[in-house]
Amino acid sequence: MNDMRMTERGVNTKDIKIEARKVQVFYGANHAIKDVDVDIEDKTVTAFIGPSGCGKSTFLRCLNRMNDTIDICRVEGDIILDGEDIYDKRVDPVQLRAKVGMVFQKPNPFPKSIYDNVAYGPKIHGLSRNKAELDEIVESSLRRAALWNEVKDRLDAPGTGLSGGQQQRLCIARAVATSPEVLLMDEPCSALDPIATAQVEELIDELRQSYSVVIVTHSMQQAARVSQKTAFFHLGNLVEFGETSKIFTNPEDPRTESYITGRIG
Amino acid sequence: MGAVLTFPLVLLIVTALAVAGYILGRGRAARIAAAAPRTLHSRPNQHGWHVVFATAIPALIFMMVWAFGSGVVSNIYVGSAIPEDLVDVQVPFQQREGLTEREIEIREEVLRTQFVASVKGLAVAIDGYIANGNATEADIERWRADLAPLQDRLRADGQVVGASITQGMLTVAQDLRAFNRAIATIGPLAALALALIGFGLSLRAISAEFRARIAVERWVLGFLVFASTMAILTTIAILSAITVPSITFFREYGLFNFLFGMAWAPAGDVVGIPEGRDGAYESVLGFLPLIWGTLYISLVALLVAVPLGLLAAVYLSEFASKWVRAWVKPALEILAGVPTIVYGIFALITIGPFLQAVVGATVMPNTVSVMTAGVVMGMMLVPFVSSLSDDVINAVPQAMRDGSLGLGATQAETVTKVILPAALPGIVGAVVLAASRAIGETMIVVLAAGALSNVQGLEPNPFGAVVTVTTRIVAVLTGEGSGFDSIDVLAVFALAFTLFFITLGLNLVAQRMVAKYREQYD
Repeated sequence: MNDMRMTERGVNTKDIKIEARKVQVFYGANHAIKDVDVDIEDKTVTAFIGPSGCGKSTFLRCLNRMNDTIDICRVEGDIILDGEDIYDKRVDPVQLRAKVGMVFQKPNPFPKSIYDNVAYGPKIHGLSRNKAELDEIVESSLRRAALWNEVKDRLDAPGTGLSGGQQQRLCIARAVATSPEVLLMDEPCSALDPIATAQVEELIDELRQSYSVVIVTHSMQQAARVSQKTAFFHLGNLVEFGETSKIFTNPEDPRTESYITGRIG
Repeated sequence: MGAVLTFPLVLLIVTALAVAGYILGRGRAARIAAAAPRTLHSRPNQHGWHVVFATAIPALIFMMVWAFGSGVVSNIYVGSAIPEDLVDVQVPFQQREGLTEREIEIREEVLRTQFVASVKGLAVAIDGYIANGNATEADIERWRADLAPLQDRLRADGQVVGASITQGMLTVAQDLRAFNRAIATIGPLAALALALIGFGLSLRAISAEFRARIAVERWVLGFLVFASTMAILTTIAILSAITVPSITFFREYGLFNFLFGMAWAPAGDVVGIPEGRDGAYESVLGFLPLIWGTLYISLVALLVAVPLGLLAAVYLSEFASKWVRAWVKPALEILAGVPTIVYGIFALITIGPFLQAVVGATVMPNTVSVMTAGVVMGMMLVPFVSSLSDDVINAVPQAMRDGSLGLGATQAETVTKVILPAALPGIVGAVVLAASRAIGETMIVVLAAGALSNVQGLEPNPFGAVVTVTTRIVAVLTGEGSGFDSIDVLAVFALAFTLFFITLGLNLVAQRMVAKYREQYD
């Protein structure tokens, strides 16, 4: 772990992008998330860590209302994005998701060409006026995902034919292409080898320049490497939330310490 | 007189032997075990089962092979029992004029085929006559001098006699009967002998060292293999049953005349090759008008079934609430179980008159038509298409939906831009399977498509009556009085044969598409 680098990276106070207050999530009778308060800052990488089943992925999916697709899931409390409650009746989840993009645990490129995968979002949201503009969006997105050089000669090849790491970067490019303001990443490296993981992590660090990134991860090294803020979840509760350097070097809660030192998990 | 020992009787004896074998074998093994504990390799009941299998299986297999093979063998026997110079199988001298060697050869072959069929029919008739207690073997020989009364007697007894009996026919038929009797006597005896040998050998084999468990496992494995190949064997048997008459037909009538003939007009319903004809058949047996009717109706059916079925599947798998899905999906699947004859009746008494009332009697002279049959067949196929499409749509991974929704796509965009393209090969497979069902569908078209026995050319009017391949097969094979040797009936086998290959081809295509689709997500 590169503790030195971490402490160097001093974080100035930034604008709050997402403000979650007293969030409760129920799966049927199961109370999965209890009273979670979190502030997600703009242009910051926030990591959610915690043992399996602690609710970190569930909470992440609340941030762009992906839990709406699960029938038995019920969300209470307030999640405010840029001053607007995203669970308000007037908010269209479709528009919300265009603003809050998501990258999933397993690379899930559509069975289309690489080009069409990236162009999917811009096309449905009408982000380009003509083919040239669309080409440009596709190229810049692929460049941002550090994939352009590897695929520029075969944009018509199927996205499913790429390697696992390339597929995941394609999915990131796809999410970036819709120009979201927040990017949610649900264990984006869990299906990748160390080299691909390093590439994706580097990418996350770059994305921080323009987006607010929230990443769920099982790897504490990864959280330490890429994030500025860390939230530790345990059994549906948010146990501790703060500067990554502080969480990893000087946690306040004994449970956090137990987890990061490997005693509970 | 029939053989004393018959297969059912042998079956009974073999069963008894097997039961006895189990008890004896088990007892024997148990005694060995009691005398020398822990030395027995296999458990006593495994020894018992080994005796059962060794007794019953070889005998059963032998009986099956014998029963199936004796028909084939006796066919070959009849062929060889016909004297070369028999007048029945010669083209009469006065008809040979103007015919080439080849034509004469073909005709003689046809005559032989017909003669064989008549001989087999006659042999069955005489067997039946004697079995009914009307005469003895000696009587038959006595009546040989005058054949007309024999024929009348047989007919009076209700036996089917196609052609008029000739001396040659009776001689060969009697030969055949003797041969069949021999087969019927030897078969059961041999089966019984096999069972006894297996019984004795397996009982003797029982010892502490004998690995009965392994032997039994092998028998069981054999059973499993047998069960799994049975359906394939049946298909091969069906195919071989229709292949021979079809090939006879193709050779007689000409493959091209059949496949590209523009009219279907069988000349008569009784005996196919008219006497004294001069080269050409009176029956005109072209495939095109029939396959046209079949494909036309299938097209209409698919135009109805594919959009409705697909939309139903999309609704059920992507939009319907759990509650709706729990009710509608089973309801749709129940529809798939409605017998096709019921759909046919519905077409005939409801849809047909309704369509006629809508489009008018000038366009639609009859209530039976392409549209009547096609629309109802389409309704029949809706649950079929929707159920298969529902399966392939559900097989598209949830990750695809999440990925699309996560990018801010609406549900409709997700369905049309991601799910349907991903499921497309599977859906196409479902459609091809539906098409192959439509082509082979019989009852609806029999009732609702039209029942003309003669068709000229291809009917373009969707509200006109057509004739399909299956309708003709049903009409000819259920019609009375036609022997299996007439050209019209042979043509029907050719129809079935061709239809078999069309649907087989479609199913192969469908299977390949579905398989290709599966590859994508495994």
